[in-house]
Amino acid sequence: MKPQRMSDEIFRKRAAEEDGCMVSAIGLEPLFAKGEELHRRRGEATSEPVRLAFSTLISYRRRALKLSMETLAQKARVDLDELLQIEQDMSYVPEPRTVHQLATELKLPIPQLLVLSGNATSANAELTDAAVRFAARSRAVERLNREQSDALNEFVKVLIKQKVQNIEK
Amino acid sequence: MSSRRTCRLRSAERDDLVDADLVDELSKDDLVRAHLDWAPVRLEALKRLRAANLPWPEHWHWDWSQKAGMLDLLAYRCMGIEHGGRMQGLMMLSTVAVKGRLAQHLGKPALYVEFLETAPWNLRALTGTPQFLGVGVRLLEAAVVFSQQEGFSGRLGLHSLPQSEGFYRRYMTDLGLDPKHSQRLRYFEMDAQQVRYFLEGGKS
Repeated sequence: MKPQRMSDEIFRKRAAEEDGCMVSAIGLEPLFAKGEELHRRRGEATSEPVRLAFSTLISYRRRALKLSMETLAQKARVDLDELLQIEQDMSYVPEPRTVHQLATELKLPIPQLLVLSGNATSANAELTDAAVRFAARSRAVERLNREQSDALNEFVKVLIKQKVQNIEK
Repeated sequence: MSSRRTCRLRSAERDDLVDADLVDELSKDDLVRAHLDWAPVRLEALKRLRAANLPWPEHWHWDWSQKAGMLDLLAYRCMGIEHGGRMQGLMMLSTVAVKGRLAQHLGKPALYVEFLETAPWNLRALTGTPQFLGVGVRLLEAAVVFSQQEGFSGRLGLHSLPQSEGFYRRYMTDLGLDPKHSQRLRYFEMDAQQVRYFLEGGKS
């Protein structure tokens, strides 16, 4: 389909219509629609260790902030069942809105979490490398030991360093 | 790598059309430069608005340098309109299609506009005497063209800040407050007929 363009005459009219308006749009939600096929496609975008890193990151970060699953689910306005799936089911790809809510509540950068969760792809190899390293060092247990705390802190530092955060709210 | 094509803006002072560049695939540096250019102008404008007890624009705190990191992700693409070495407006698009919400769009992909903003000196509400008119129109046109190139027939959607709803309502369908949006903003979508009206005029 050949793209259409606006004539000068129409543009003049549209420009006059815009004059005096405040023009801005804000997005970020929802990046993706629901649907099984899309879930599958989104899941394919993330390799298993990266997705494992996402689950572990959510779980570790929640516990580091001393939040129960129930409390986090409530604060982030996410279903408890879904949070359980996120932390325990490596094949589950949460909705971007859910990732957004969790990232905000856990004070983690949103775009990186969208990548780790399988909702977006990144050209940044450092992020995926760090995720794989983190996943390799991580095992879910009830309390974080020193080694797990170190692994979490190291990975969060890498996430923050990417400077992809601070999306306007 | 960025690419350019000429587009025309309306000079508010002389009321004629001037050539500008629509720059596609802006870099992170481009966004940082735009922010450094826009921020002091915006700040001065806000001081004037405060002194006059006038409302501030709802996007007064936007910082495009903070959005630059989004370009690390393949899911985002940024366009801008440049004239005189300055960015006159910016737009961030999601390169991942969303599903259309209009009844006639159900199941069909649509382009999603993440952010769209005109430079502070082009907003009459901020400056009183804008330099260029139609920057937002040109960016919206670029979004429509990109949607067409992607095979989406110009379908596009966005969430509007309340102060901008009147602008989008002229050309798009207001689908109401979106309960899924964190700020409960109104969602707007443009269909093929509205694309024709927006680009060619005639009956809305």
